[in-house]
Amino acid sequence: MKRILVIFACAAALSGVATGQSAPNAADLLARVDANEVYNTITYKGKMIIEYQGRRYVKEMQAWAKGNNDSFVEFFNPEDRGTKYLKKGSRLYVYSPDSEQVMLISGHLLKESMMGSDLSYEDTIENERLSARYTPVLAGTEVLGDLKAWVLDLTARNRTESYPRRKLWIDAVTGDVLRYELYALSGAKLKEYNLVRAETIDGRRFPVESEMRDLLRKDSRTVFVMDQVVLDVPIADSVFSMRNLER
Amino acid sequence: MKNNAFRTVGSISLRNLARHRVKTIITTVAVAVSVCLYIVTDGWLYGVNLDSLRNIVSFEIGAAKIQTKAYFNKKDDLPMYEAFSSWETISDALADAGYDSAPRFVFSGTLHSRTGTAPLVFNAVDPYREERLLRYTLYLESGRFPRPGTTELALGSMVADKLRVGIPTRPKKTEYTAELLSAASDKVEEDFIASLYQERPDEGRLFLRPDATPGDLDRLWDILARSGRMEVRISTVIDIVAAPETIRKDRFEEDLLPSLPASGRELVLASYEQDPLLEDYFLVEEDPDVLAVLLRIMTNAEYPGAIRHVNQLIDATVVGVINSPNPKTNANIAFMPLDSLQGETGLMLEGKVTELLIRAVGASDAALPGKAEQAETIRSALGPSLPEGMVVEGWRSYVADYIAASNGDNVSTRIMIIFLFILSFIGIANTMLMAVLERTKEIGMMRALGMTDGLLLTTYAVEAGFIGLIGAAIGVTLGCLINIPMVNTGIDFSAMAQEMGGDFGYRISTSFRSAWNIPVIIGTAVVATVLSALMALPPTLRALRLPVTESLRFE
Amino acid sequence: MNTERRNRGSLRALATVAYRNIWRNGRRTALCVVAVAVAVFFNIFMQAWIVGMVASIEEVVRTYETGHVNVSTEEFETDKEYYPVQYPVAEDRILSELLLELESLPGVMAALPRITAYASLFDSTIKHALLWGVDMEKELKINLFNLADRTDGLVAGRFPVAGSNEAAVGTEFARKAGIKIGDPLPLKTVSAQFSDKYWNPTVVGIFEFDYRKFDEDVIIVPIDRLQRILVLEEKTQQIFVYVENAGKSRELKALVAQVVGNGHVVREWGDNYWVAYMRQGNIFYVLIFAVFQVVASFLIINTVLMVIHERIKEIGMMGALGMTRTEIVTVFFLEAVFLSIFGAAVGTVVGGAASLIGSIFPINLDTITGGGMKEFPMAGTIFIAFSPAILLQGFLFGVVVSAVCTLIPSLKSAFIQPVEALRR
Repeated sequence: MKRILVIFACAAALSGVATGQSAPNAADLLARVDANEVYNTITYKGKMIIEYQGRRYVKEMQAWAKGNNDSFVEFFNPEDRGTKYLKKGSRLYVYSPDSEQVMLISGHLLKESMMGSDLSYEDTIENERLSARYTPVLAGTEVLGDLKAWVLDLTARNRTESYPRRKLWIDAVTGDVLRYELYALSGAKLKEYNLVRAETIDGRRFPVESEMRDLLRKDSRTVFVMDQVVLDVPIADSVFSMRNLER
Repeated sequence: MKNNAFRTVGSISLRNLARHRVKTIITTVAVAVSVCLYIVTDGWLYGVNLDSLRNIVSFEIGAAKIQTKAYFNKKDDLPMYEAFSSWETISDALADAGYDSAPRFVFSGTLHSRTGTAPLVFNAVDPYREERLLRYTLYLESGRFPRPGTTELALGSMVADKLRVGIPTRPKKTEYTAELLSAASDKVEEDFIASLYQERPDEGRLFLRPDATPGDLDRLWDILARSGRMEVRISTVIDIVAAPETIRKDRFEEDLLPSLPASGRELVLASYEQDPLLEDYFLVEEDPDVLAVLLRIMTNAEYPGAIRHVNQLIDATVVGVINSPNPKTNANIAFMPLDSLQGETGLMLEGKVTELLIRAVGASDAALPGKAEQAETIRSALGPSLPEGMVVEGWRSYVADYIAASNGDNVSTRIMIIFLFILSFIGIANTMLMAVLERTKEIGMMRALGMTDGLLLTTYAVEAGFIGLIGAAIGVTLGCLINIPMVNTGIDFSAMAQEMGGDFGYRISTSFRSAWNIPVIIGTAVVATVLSALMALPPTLRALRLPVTESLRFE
Repeated sequence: MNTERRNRGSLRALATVAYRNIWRNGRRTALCVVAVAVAVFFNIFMQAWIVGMVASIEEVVRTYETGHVNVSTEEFETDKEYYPVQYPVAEDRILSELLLELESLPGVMAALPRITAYASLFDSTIKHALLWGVDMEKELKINLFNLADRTDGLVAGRFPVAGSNEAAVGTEFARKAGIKIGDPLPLKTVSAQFSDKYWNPTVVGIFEFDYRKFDEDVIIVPIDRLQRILVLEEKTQQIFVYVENAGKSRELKALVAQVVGNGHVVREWGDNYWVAYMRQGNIFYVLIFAVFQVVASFLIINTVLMVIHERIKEIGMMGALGMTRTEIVTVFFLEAVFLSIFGAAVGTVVGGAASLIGSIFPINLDTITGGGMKEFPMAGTIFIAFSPAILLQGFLFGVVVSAVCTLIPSLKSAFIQPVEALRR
């Protein structure tokens, strides 16, 4: 799930998940979302457009990702040029040209907003499979825009889960995750993701534009646009190395 | 014989007092005024200083708190995961020993109102117990205190102002039109709102009329509440202890591993993997049962667990705004009923609280906690009822910073008191010296009549002492009479501050009340008497050193 | 014409009598003088203390919180407690030109840009601190940061050089975090675009400003470097304008407001909460002061009463010798006035000396308070104020109070029958 939204993950489309119009099994549906490793690597140019407090900030980046564990992001908009993130598993390192030093983002910093977006660091680095952590229930179908979608209701298995409840809308035809919502323990909605535009790349569906809203931030949204997406071209391990971060 | 001499001395002294009536009156008045003013001023300054401490006790903490030891050690971080359960048992034991207690669960979070957000400290309380123990519940600027079983909030006035909840006391004109007047559903209500506010020239703000009745405020509150002004959301994270996700290399290898038994070591090594880059250890185990065992092993080895965060968002309604003499309760703080936070719509407390506030039953608000309310006394009163790992700490342990700060404020006060003492001292001494000096001639006469030097000295000292005693008695009586209203009502500073044009909207401190400083009152009387008596000695001695003939000629 | 001369001569004669009377009884005079002197001394010293304390607060506010005139934006003002950096002053203008224009205003010594931002610290027992971006070179020409020693406040090392990757921290901060010169200080702050900025300046200096908030919480960094990190591009969060005469701030405020234009909040230091509070909180001191005045006045009254009382016989004699009531009253009154002038003079000299000493050798409050006064903008050290105005005021207080007090018993004395008085 986060794989779609998150710039640090090997984002994926959900092609072939939906099987026709008949109601699928909820667990299968979720398992397929999880298992959506339709490619090994991805590189893309991304743009994060943050609208907040009546102002608009654009952050551009180049990203490389491999599998679900390794990713490397480098910002190149003038304000943040040279800021680099390396994600290895659930660990997130940052290199900033101002500090000239690699730091590990941990503890209370993880709860803070990532680059001013509607995502927290914690949101961006979770990489455990949803099916292992949540119990899915198929809540029926809904029409989003003019697309028919399966609605999946996820309840956390473990009470230490950051978001005890999630809800997913999966396109019945394409298998795209059209929308998802993250909930607090009380059942109140905290964050909302919407797919804006999916494209077919190399014959596969891919969410090239999406929008995230942190509902607790007033008048705030983050639009994430991917460009020049290249799939399955081998990436050297050295990209995901400390050396590359410090380069 | 000796008795007789004393009687003689006494009667001479008394007669002398009567003989020099005017002089006696002047000196008595001098002593009385000095004593009286000193007592009043000291009581007042003492009261002002005491007030800030009393405010802490009766508005913030009570006499002492019971917390877990781990919580107390980290108390500045508000570590909610160090809470404890079954506080009721402790509370019952406290009640048996004559103490009131009030449970609290304290957590930090962000409060979102329609217009803004602010970081806040939330105190989840038992409203009834809280009302019995602390006094801030009486200082609601508007609205009421939350009721049990609801997600109602009472907010500090400063944060209410910032988030634009509650009844604004000094709204900007724009806010007044956009948020107050617009809340009215008809002309009658609009006129009603307008009648409660007055405009002051050049300030761009309106001011809530100070004479608005509680009934008016309640009605205004209801009108504003209808517009959704009082609806807020509490955003927080529930901290849950779990096996740490990462452990630093040195801690893992040097602290954790050596402290574990062999079996535990094996499990820990299997559950963690070393990071090739940073060389730190990361949790790889996912099975919740294994994780539970892991956490138990670590806890047994006294290794602090890592904390997981669960997002929580709670809808709540603000029902009251607090503006008490203790600025802390008016700042970024909220109070809400503890019982509404128990389940999943709350903080999953399951009966846990972070602290238990303690005050002796029927303790006076006017006094600081006494011996019966010391942490030590409470601890021994509880005996075995106090579970392992819990600590009782006196209120002073929680406000060390504040006490240091207020001591700073007191420096000038203390210096003033010393000055005042010197001034009064000189006043008494001066008058007394003068009174005795001019009687050198008389001393000569007495000696000529055969009175011994010792008897003379005693006579004069006793006479002066009498004056001092009468003066002190009058002074103490007067001082105490003035003190009674000063202690009970004090000087309302806020009204005066407003008179002088300043209006910060917040109660800096309601009124400066005096306090009974009994040792000083008694001390002052004693010092005044003794001082008067002693002051008679130097001039008398001086006169005694003169030849009788000489002193008879003294002018 | 004739009566006038007689009166004048008589007044001089009476003055002479009164003056001689003073020296007739040295002890009495001494006691009286001491009484007045003590009263005057306390009057002066108390005032000097209060004025010194208020001055200390004003000094802190001017140096650190507002300057003489302070410029920020409305948006900044709304969220001031969070020190937002995304609302720079005069966004459409070149900062250096704006500063020059401000500095060309009459009486302006300097217009200094300053940026304050929150920082989260890594690897530290302290989690949060304030970054204080200033142009140290320009600042030091205007401000003496250490309020006690009137120095730049450096304890060790040096201040960060413009443009460098350097920082200076306060003594308390260094102590708590265990930081020495040469140590790195890894931290995170948030830029004007809300981007997370990681920075790792090297500590090159440790300062002690004797202002708790700064000594404990502040990391001084070069403003140009901080601008770059916060992506403020030559913009600043606030401008602190310093003028030659702090009293002229109010007039200048209007001029500054004109220069910076709409959307800005321009304040002068007198608008600061604490300054306003102290000016008003003075009521408290005024009350105490009043009690002092009463006690001191009483000391004088009492002494004078005593003096007159024991001389009732003298009054009788004077009356018997043919002096009129007015003359007797005049003699006693003048005597009291002379005494008060003496006493007040002594008190003024001693009080002046004490406050002069206190104004040179400050009183360290930290040793008494343990340094807990963080929220309160007051230096850890107080200089007692030495001012001729206070001295003059104290002197007049002594003379007037005793003179007025004497008038009543002197008047009374005149109404005693000479025969009666002689018999006393």
